[in-house]
Amino acid sequence: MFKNLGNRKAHPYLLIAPTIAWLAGFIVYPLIFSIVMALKQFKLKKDLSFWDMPWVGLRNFEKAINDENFLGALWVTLLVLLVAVTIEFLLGLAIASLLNRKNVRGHPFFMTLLMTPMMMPIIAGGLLWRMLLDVRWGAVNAVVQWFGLPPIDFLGTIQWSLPSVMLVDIWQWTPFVVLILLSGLRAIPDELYEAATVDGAGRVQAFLKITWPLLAWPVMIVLLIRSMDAFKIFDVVYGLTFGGPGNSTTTVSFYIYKQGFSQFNLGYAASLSWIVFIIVYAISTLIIRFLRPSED
Amino acid sequence: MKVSRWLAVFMVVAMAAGVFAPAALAEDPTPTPVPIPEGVKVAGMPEVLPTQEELKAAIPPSLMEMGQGKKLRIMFQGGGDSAPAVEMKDFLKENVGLEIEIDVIPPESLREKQLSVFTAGSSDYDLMELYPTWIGEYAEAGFIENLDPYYEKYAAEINTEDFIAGAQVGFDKYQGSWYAVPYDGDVNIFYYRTDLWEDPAEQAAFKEKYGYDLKYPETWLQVRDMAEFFTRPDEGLWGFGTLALRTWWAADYWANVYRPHIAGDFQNGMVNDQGEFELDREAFIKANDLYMELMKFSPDGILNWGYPESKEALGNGVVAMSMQWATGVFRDPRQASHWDKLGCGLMPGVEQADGSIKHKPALAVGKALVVPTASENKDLAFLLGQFFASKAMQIYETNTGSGVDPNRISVFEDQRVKDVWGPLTSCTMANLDLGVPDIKVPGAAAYYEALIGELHSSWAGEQDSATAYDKVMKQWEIVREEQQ
Repeated sequence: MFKNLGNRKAHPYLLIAPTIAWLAGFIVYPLIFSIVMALKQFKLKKDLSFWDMPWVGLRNFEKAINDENFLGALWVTLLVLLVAVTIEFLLGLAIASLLNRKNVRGHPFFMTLLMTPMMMPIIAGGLLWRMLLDVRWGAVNAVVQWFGLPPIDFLGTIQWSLPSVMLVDIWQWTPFVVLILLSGLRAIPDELYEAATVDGAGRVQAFLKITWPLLAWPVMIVLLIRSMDAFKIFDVVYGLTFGGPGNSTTTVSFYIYKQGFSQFNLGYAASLSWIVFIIVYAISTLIIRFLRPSED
Repeated sequence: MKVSRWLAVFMVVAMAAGVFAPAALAEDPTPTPVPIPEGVKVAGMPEVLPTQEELKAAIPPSLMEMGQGKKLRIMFQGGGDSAPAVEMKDFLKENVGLEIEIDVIPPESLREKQLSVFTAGSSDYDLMELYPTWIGEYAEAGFIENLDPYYEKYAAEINTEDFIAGAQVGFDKYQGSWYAVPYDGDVNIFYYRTDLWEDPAEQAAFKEKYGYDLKYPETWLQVRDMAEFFTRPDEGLWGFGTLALRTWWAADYWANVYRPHIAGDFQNGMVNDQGEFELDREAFIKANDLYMELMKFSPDGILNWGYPESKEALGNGVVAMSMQWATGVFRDPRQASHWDKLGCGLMPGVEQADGSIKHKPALAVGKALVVPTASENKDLAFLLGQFFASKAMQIYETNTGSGVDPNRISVFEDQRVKDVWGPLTSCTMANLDLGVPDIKVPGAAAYYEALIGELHSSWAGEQDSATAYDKVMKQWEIVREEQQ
């Protein structure tokens, strides 16, 4: 081995060896372990090693497909993805466009203020909104009642609970969308707009022909990240509603957490995680396929 | 500035307002601190705590003998539960020569941490605090020690007769054997506002409307009438309110209404220690329909009420009646504005054909101390657990306000505890004695998850009680199949 150190051909392998070892230990092994776990039934027994636990083949996956609660949680998560992420994107784009204008006084102050929700730990955000949305002493209902309207039971009714979870998600993560899109907007040279103006293009035309095409990468990245995040929404649910009322705010992450760490049904939780992974992978592929800017 | 810029500024400020608004706009639910009236004794006062001599006398002689120079490692749940043990570290070092190392784990991670320790075969811990609902699972897996031989061996040093009978079976025994040392004697009791019940005008109006006297409700049907009678939103008063957040222990609260509706005898009413299903369809439907009716007399938001919300509503007189854990908190003017207007009694029940009333209060959650089979200091750990469960320590635990509740007869009879708990002592004892424990078999967490999921869906109006029952049973069958 030491003799080979002098061999130039071995150098690249030696240099990448630590990275390969790290990837194998911290990425590949856990992935393989979780696949194996998904194919086993996790049994609690003293001195029973993981490898001796019974194989159940694809039974965990079969159970997932027939698990009404899991399918319900999947539907709730898809709703969050469709509604909350769409609103975050549109709102984020609007704020970023407005803040991108020149001569916005106090710009650094507003940027700092804007980032505040994002800087807050997510669980703290959930608990904070639990107080804000409380039907008896919450600030939001104080405003509602100030307008002469009856208080709204945001967290105790199935009509309002999921929109409330979405609201908190939008509040917390729209600043992230603003940040990414604003950096994309700032990278567009002013000369392009000036040239377009000289050529007689209006604001809408300039947006469609210059801003949107040049913003394609940031848009794709932001939708990709937020879509993946939507499947990981957990802390807000934990702090705000604990998945209720009923199962109306139980997301897949929250459901998998309960299967894994409350019921210690680790084999089933692993299989659910793989199903979610495949769905996220498919959605990500679609986003990249349709939003990736052309080389032209 | 143009309109669009104002709009940008508005949106940014609105985002940030979420962070700062609670302090600025929300109504503070915490009652204004009330000075402690003269003569009233509350948790933390030196005169309600045991003396050093009492604590020394509570040390089991064998612990004194064997503990010198030894070290034990203990796992406690965070919060008040761990406080008494942490506060005893120096005391034990000084008086026994025993060093204790305490790991405090957040409640939501406790089970995960324990199972990680067990499955790794680690002998790191000698004593662990747990929720009794996990006992069967741990016992069947061989993770915790059967303590029968220890109770026998050290019988002369432990007064088990002093533990309230129902509670010790509920919290500490599984399939008839001791697996734990008593720690936190949680039980649900029924609270009501005595100022309303003792008001002659209210008594007369109630009698006129319902045809019987306004007295402490013995049955759930009476609770229903009284909840309806006292629901007066314009006065900020509701008839009934309790913990109903979608957590597994909300099913325990519901079980206070469900279990007495079961016609025959039962061990657990849900799943007994032998793994047999005892969930009764007729009782389930009747009780759940009644429970949903009671919720109509609760403030909005009830389905999101955890302990803080229900404690606030009860302590500040927002609800006329409530089921809640027995705790001295409701006798403390610093924590409850209605501290002197709250009475309690045996959990209401259901009238039987012979005229008797069946009461089945829930030993909701609770805590106990167990000795892992991998521990290398089992005797010492058992004896230390017994010290924490001694009379002097239970007085210390409850009267320091840690939230760890007693379960010994002698503790409830002690004047210092009576001073702090007031009228709550007798009804707590009565409920502890009749208490029905949580499901304790392997898979208990999955049974509870299925139960509360379907119950909560019915409470939210998504399905009727019969559908909820059928769905629970279907899921329970799957859980049982997987446990075999």
